[in-house]
Amino acid sequence: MKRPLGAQISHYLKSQGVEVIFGIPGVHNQEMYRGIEEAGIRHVLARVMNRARDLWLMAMRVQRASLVWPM
Amino acid sequence: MADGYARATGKPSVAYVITGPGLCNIMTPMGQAYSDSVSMLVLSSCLDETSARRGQLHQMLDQAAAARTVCDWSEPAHSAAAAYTLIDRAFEEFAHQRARPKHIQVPIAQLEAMADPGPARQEPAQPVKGNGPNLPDVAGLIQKANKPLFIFGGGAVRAKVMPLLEKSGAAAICTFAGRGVVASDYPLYLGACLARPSSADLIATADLVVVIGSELAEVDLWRAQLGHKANLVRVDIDPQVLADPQSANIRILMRSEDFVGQLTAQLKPSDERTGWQPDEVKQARQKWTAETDAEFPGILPVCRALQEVMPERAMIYSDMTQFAYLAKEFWDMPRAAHWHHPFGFGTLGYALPAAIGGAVARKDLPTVAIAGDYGFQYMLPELGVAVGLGLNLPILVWDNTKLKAIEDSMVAAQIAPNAVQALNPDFSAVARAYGAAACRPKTLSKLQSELTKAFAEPRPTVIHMTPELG
Repeated sequence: MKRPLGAQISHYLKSQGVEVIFGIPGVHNQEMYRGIEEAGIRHVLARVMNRARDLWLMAMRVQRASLVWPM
Repeated sequence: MADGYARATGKPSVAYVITGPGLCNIMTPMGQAYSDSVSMLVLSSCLDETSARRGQLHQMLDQAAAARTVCDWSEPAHSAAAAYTLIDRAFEEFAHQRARPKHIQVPIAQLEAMADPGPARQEPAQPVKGNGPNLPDVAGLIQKANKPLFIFGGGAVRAKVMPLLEKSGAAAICTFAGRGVVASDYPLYLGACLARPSSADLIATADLVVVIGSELAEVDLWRAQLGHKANLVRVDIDPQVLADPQSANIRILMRSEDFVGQLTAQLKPSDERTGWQPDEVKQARQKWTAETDAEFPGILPVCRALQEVMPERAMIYSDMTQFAYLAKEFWDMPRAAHWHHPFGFGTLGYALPAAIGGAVARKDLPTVAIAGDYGFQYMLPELGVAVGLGLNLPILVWDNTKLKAIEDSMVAAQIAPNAVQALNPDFSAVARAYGAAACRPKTLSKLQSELTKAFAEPRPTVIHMTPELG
């Protein structure tokens, strides 16, 4: 079935034997988070101090579209 | 974390990060994974357009190139097919080549675009095994040698070396990463002694040296030359290692475990004649331990106390701290690949996130983190992760109230110590604020009981160790 590529990647990794993904979601990579659970992969949320800004953005649910300037 | 998971399982690990700062944050772990041969696949998003449009959120001038400085390769996938092919390439290389991290970045618009699933999974290609007719006669050399010496590195952790050592009557050394490959009660085991300057003198007395799965890197030797005077045989999966300046006269591109298996089969049963004396081995080890103790005073008794009660299957992750610098020279491991350290890249703040990755991978087995007081503060956010996951993880913090390794180095260079002391927080209070347990044992026996207790806690325990213990 067709899915956004971000989701397909998690499914493809599962087929390669991946069971756990480590990482930090942000607005810019949220499409990679669409398929993790559906693919049956566990995600472990890391924490790094200087990611505060992006996590704040995530918390404020700022949509990526509103951040993109028209060319 | 991904590094610790891969080291614990021997399987590739995967991490997802964002554009820009996310990629920059993981570059240090990638550099560590590169130097220490860890299979890690990092997938990041990237901006769709970076040349014509400036000032975007999380923008870097050249993200792929930045990552390329700390990994095997770093490539963009501009289509679904490219993403699948690059993932295949990574896993194929993980299966067959020296473990190294890789990076794939996918533009955000591609991540959002509808795509077909990846192709059906193919098993990795099967390598052809066997030595062929041209394998040098290392067995013959060993049988002619009076004092053969094996050196095993981190690349040899899958090799079963004890039958080989017993058949050949050879002495053995492990690198720090190779500890546990040789049984610690083998009478001709010299320990992880390569960093001791006088190990060169002992190596010079061997009449054949066989190095298996070791880069003999700067952080293994701390000198330019190994010190051998005899024939040097090197066995490695990485041609780059075989082309190094140690002047090996026999170089074999082969997996360590395959080579050890074949060599063991070729050796005729030993008549137990060997030029090595167990007493000389014992004396050398005692001398090196005394040297290390003098270099890092006060740590050895604490190390011994912990070693006495450490569960045999414990996997230990250490940080850049003098405690670990002494421990990795002195502490023989009962199992290979069970002590992980940021060897090559030397990352401060490695131990706890890596230990979390290890504990996630080995759910019901004991895992331990060791850090110094300054390094521990690089890891505080990860303490929250360990609490959140409910990991029964002892975190041993060696608190000498300073960056003592740097201070010692400045003093040795006749520089007045500067910027080597930072105001420490109350570590127990910090631990409790995160929901972790905490203790500050005052005696070695209390330290031992606290470590044992920490394995039974349903959360991490920060064990605050100070030099007064020793």
